[in-house]
Amino acid sequence: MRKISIDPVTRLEGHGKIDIFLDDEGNVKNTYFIVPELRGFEQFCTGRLAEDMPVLTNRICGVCPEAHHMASVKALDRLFGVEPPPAAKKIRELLYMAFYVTDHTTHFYALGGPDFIVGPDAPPSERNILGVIRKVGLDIGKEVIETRARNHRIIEMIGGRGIHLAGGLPGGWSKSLSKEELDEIKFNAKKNIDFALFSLKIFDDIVLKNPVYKELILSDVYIHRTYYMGTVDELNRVNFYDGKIRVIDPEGNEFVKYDSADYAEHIAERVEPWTYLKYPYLKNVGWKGFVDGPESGVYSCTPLSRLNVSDRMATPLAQENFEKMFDTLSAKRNDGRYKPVHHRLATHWARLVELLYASERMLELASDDETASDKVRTIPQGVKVNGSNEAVGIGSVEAPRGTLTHHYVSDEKGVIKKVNLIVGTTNNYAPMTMSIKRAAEKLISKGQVVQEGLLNMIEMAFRLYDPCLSCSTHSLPGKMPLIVKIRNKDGDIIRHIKRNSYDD
Amino acid sequence: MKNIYHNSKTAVIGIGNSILSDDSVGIKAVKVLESIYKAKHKDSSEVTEFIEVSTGGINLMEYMAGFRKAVIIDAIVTGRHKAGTVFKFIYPDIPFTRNTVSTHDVDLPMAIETANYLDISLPSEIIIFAVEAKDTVNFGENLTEEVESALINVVNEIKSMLNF
Repeated sequence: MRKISIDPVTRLEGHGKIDIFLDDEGNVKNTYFIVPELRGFEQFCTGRLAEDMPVLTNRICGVCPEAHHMASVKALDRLFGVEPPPAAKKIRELLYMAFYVTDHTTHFYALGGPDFIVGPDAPPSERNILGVIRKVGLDIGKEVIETRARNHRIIEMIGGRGIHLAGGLPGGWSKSLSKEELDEIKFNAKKNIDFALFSLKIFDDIVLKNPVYKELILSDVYIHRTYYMGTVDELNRVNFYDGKIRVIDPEGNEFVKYDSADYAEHIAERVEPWTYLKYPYLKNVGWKGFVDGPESGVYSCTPLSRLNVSDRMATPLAQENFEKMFDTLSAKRNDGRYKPVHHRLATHWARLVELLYASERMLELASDDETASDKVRTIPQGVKVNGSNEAVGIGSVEAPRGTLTHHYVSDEKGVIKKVNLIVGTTNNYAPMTMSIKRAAEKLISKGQVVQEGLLNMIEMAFRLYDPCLSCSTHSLPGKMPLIVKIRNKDGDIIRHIKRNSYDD
Repeated sequence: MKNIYHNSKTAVIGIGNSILSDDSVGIKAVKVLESIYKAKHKDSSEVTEFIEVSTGGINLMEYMAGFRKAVIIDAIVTGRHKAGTVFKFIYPDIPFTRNTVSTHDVDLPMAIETANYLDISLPSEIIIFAVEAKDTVNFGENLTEEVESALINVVNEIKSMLNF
């Protein structure tokens, strides 16, 4: 046993490594964003029972186990060919709304807030949650923690466990909800609605009413005119738990709407030689590189993307705020829908609209008599085998960071043979890479580098996507240690900028 | 801020991913410690709680709230020490171990500072045991040999430290 002092011994594995290559003139030619990958998940799952997948996959990632659990049970519904009773679907969605409230709240106040509420030019030591709380006030800080706590209690109540919930089963849910439990959820949902409205007011007061911030949102640095993806219900409204995957083109026209079971017909993954990351793109548009526009298959899958693909929100207060956002940043098309918002920094605003929607939807579901039914399970009678004596189950949900798809193949006894996951953040690898490049271009010109500004702009480019690389790679820490290497045309490193790195 | 409870209990917290090879060392240590403790304290009122946590940052801070003392076990990758090397850190002299940071919010020192500002009662004593990991990229339920041996040392150290 040794006791050592803290630095500089420790080193976090897996920095966010960004290589910026310059051309002959010293301007940005390319940016490479590299994170290490985790290996062997498919192998780990092969040979296990399909019904174990919801409790295995929710261990992949500590940040969004709820999303993996839901995508997994939905995949199992199909693998076993069972339709859960209405109450089971509503209970699942109810839990999922509580998860969204905690997740979006944490992102806005701990990660997004520092960029806007504290300000992009504030020193790094103040650009954190504490800086946010100092600015918005102690009571709000307490409310952030209280919001997390009350929704965690609900997740635990419905899911059976606080972390790594265990309620999901093929064909339904393992427990029904009592009237007392639903009353408690309603009480808390109302508090969530107040908190979401309050958060939107903060955004309005501190960000939108500040001309400097508003200009930042509208500036061309973070504009990419890509395709957008998100899940919508039968009325083309945002839905996090279920529906069809809708994709719109950069002009806002519906490009395709499909069942997640058909994802392989629409999504392909681009492999680049310089990284383990695979870049999903729209197969039927094609890969044209890290560029936007209607000819490029790059798409985004974020809160802003989900609002972009939807005709409207399903709840009244969220709809009001949806209209306000689009009226401010976009315009209506001839068909009455809004044109997509391409200003990436508006993703923070969209996230708050979603926070409000999740809160309202939670109240709706908890007030729905059907949710109180004790019929919560359709018992499966074995897996649903196809002609090849295999069973296939594909399920998806909207994870806070993008569409999450689980795809399982089992044998006739339900033993897993094949697993493929497309995790939320992965969808945004290509646009993230583009936003990083844009930030670099803004601050590097003819070999001159604005050093501090560069890291801030790159961090802002990251944060708006709310990347959770823990389930895609599990290695990039939240404090976001960044190593940026700037290389000349011969590949020699001419500048090496680091932050939050023990290699400093 | 109302503190739901404030007590004299100790929290033993294992942090990590239970299916990511050596990253699971904290979770495994807590399970072993809990079984030893429960076998010995069958009927007395329990003063030690055992908690598994998957992410650091605010989440970890929330789990510690209300306890008098917290003992945290995590993996660490310094890359400069042999796999299985065990480090002991006492707050505020703490490093970033693998999971005390969160991909979704902040690191532990920032979470603690935030809690103090919000008047959330945190343990007066926070001790972190960190085990140098060898494999944190391959999924698997087993530890590498080196870390497996270290697990026993950590368990014994904590057992004697907490007198059980």
